Amino acid sequence: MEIVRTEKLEKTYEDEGVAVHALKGVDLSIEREEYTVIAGPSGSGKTTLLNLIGALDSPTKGTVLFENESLGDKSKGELSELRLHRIGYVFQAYNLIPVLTALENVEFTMLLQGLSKEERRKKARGILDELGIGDLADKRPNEMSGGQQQRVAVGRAVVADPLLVLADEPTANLDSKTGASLLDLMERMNSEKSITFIFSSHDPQVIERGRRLIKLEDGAISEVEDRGAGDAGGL
Amino acid sequence: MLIKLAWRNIWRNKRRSAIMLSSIVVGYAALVFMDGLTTGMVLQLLDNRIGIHTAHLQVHKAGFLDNRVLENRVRNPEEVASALDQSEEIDRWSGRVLTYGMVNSASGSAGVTIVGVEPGRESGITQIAGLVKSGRYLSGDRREILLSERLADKLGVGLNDKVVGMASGLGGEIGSELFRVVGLYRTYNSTFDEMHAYVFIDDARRMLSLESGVMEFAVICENTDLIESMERSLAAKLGDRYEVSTYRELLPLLVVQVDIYREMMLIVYAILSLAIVLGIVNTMLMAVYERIHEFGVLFAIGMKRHKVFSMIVLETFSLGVLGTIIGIGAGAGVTAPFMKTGIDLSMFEQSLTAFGTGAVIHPQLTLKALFSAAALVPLVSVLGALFPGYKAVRLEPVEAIRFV
Amino acid sequence: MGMLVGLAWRNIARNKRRTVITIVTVAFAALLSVSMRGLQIGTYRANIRNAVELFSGYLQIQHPDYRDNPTLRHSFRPTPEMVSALEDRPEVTGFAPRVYSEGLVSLGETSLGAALFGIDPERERGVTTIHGRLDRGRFIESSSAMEVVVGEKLLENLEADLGDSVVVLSQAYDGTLGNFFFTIVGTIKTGSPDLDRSGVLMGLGAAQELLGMDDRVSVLAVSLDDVESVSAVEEALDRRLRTLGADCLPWQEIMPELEQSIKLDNISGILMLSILVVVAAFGILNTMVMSVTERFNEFGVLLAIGMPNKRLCAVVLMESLFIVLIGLIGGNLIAAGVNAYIMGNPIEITGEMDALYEQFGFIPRLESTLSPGVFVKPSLAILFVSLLAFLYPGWKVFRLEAMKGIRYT
Repeated sequence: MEIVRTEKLEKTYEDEGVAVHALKGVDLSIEREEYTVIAGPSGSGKTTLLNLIGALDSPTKGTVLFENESLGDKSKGELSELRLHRIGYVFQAYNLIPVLTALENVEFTMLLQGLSKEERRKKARGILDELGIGDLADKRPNEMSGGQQQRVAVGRAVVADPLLVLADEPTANLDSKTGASLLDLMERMNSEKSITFIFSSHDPQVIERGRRLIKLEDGAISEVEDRGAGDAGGL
Repeated sequence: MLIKLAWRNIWRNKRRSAIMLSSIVVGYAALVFMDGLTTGMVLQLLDNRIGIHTAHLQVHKAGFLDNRVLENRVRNPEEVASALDQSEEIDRWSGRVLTYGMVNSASGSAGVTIVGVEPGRESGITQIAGLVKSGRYLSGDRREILLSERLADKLGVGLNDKVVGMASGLGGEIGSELFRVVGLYRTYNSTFDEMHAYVFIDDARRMLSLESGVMEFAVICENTDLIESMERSLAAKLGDRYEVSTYRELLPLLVVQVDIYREMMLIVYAILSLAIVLGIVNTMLMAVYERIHEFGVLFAIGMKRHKVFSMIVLETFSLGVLGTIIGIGAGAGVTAPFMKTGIDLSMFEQSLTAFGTGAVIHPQLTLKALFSAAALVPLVSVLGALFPGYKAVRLEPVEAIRFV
Repeated sequence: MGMLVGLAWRNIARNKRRTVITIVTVAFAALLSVSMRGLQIGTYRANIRNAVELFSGYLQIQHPDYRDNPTLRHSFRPTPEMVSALEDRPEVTGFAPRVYSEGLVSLGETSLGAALFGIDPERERGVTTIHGRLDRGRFIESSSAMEVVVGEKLLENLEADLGDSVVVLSQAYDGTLGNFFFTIVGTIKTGSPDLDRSGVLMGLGAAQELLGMDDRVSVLAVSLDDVESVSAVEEALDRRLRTLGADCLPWQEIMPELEQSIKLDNISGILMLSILVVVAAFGILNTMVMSVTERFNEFGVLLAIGMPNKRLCAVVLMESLFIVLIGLIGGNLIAAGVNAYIMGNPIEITGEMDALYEQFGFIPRLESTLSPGVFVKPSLAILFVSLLAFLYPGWKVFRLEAMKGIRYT
């Protein structure tokens, strides 16, 4: 079942007076439960594409359809709501709120969604335990390692059962072992909770483990590779 | 090279530099404006009093001030008049015949000072002519009297009514004249109003059986700075038979008031300066702390510590200088328009409308005000940068980079 | 909501340095403006106290028409009801009856205009300090003795001396001219030129006899425990006394120039205070802007994960509020200490004019006060401008987009 589709997506932005064509017409479709990596060298436009899909940015031309609704038709408030309820994010850095504990960080989106205290607590504890970091519950980000922080970030991203999780270079600041175990976690979330994952990365580990690979070069899709048990989808 | 680096750093982060500049400029402008305001206030305080009657200087026969009797009048006013006319620094003067007497109406009487004046001259010396609220000022015709509204109320008279002025004249005889009320004035000082009635000088002389003579010369100088020197030169010219007094000697209470006011203002000034210094220091503090991690990078790539420190100091000093220059412009810009139009304080306090023009303060811009802080401000700016700057260069590069 | 408050609180606790700097800025602004205002108000009060305690009294009870037309016709009899109205008020510390008139005083050939004051020396002591201005000789001792104390300049001008007998002439209550001989027993020097040049003090009884007044008086001068009590007592007394046929006037109406000059000064004082608050506001604005822009990266992430701008704005607003409130409380506490200290140790104004001031009975001092208004008004002003200052950074946060925040440098 298709959840995201882009049509002739273009994005140009200004960088110090020079026009940069980050995306030059991208058509793609994402299905439920996909575990897809958007790969490409620096400047290929992968982060831009991710941001557009994730309603963090708006295209110069073309449309993004999320669950068959065009993002362009939505107001800022509606997009914010969308990001809150339907999409989870894992960034490269600065994921967690520095003054909150791991538990509170995970609870945060649920708090914004208006869940009751008991429910929030239960779910948050639950996910932390699932991710094997239950003992970090009362620790603040500055008391954890980079890998632990990213795990908590994943916990926060998935705890409210979003439809889709976007991860932008989640392993960039981690060593390969820690990165590997983080990826294990996300694969588990993908299969156990049916959450769709879209990565943007140039980390070989991440690329290797993606079930579908979309290669971007110079703002356009150069190749799509389907591997492993996946649904039909693509161009 | 350091200078180039410092200069470019200032322009790189416009927002931060703008914030630092703004705190200097606002503080500066505030200081200049306040100085202008207090100077204007003091001048206005003086003006309010001396503009009603006292004028800048007065000349009397020696002994008059202690004993205001007719015997102490100036018998040869021409002597004094010519001395006054000869002095360039004197703008205008007026001769008066004044005495304590009574003004009687059908329904009341009051003890007042009856002031005989030459309307043409007197109207240029005091504000009374401009404060006539109904009717008109004296014209030089015979038997006109100008009363205050308050006095008229007390006597139960209005315009065109008749009153009798009485005073003890030469030889002890009580002289009296019939006057017609031609105008009613009102100053902000109701006590003064109750006590002063104005008539034509010849009428006053006649009432007192004086052929000629003047009891008091009121003098206005070209500007207030000349008053003291004018007093000395006039006294020298006129000799022992006359006494020349400045408004300070005539209104000692006022002088006391003004002095106390000035002292108070000094304290207020100090407080404001403190606030400004604090504002600048704290802005610089935060701005430099914000950049410690950036300095860490500089250390890491090999820049020597003391060079980084010098760079910081140079930057804040330049901003201080730049801010001072702009601040001078801002201070002048804020104060100058009010210099002309004045600030009407009765806007803020209803009852001050009684002061009339006395409640309008014209701030005075002085070069002293503009430039006295000029040296200090850049130094104060550097002060704010010193502590964090010092801290920054003491850190290990890696600590600096991680600094939060 | 509670979580947002908690977030705000922790945020300011997190970056201690920035928070402390901002709190100190606010506290200092509060300290400076409150102590400055304390000095202004405290000194005004002291000036008023000096002036009313010299001779006019805090209040005066008069015949309703006296103020506009201060003649003997508008005198009155102090009835027992009036007296008890005064004695009923706890703030009243004393009151003294007086008779005022104008006339002439002569010695031999010399006649000079005089302002006559009939006073009760005993009662006067409890109300004003005029007896302290005695220069030579002695003060009047009884209400009925035919003695006078004159202004020192008047003595000079009359070419008289202590012990001389002078004639005092004045228009009596019934319109006839009354005159009596009085002996000069002393002189006063007040610094007020009118009193010194034409003032003649005599016993109340003597004045009433001279002027054919029976037991009528021109005014009752009233002293109170505190300058602050004036308006409350005046209102109450006025109401009660109107029914008894008298008026109660506060010092403001008796010495309008003093009130006017204080008002004028007060306005300029408030202008100064405003300048101070504006300067402080700028400092606060700067720190707010810096602390907000420093955190744009974090804010960007929060917005990305779905926090609405409004809520983020609310958190930042709460942070600012906490900081400003803490700063205000701290600043006010220290200011209270400063004001209390100055109250006990007024600031003496030094200068060459010292001797001159003393002569005029001017105590050249700056005093302070702990009156609540002095704390509340400047603090409210600071709170208000801080909220205004918040508008700019708050707006920036409100309009921030997730991407821009994350990418911000």
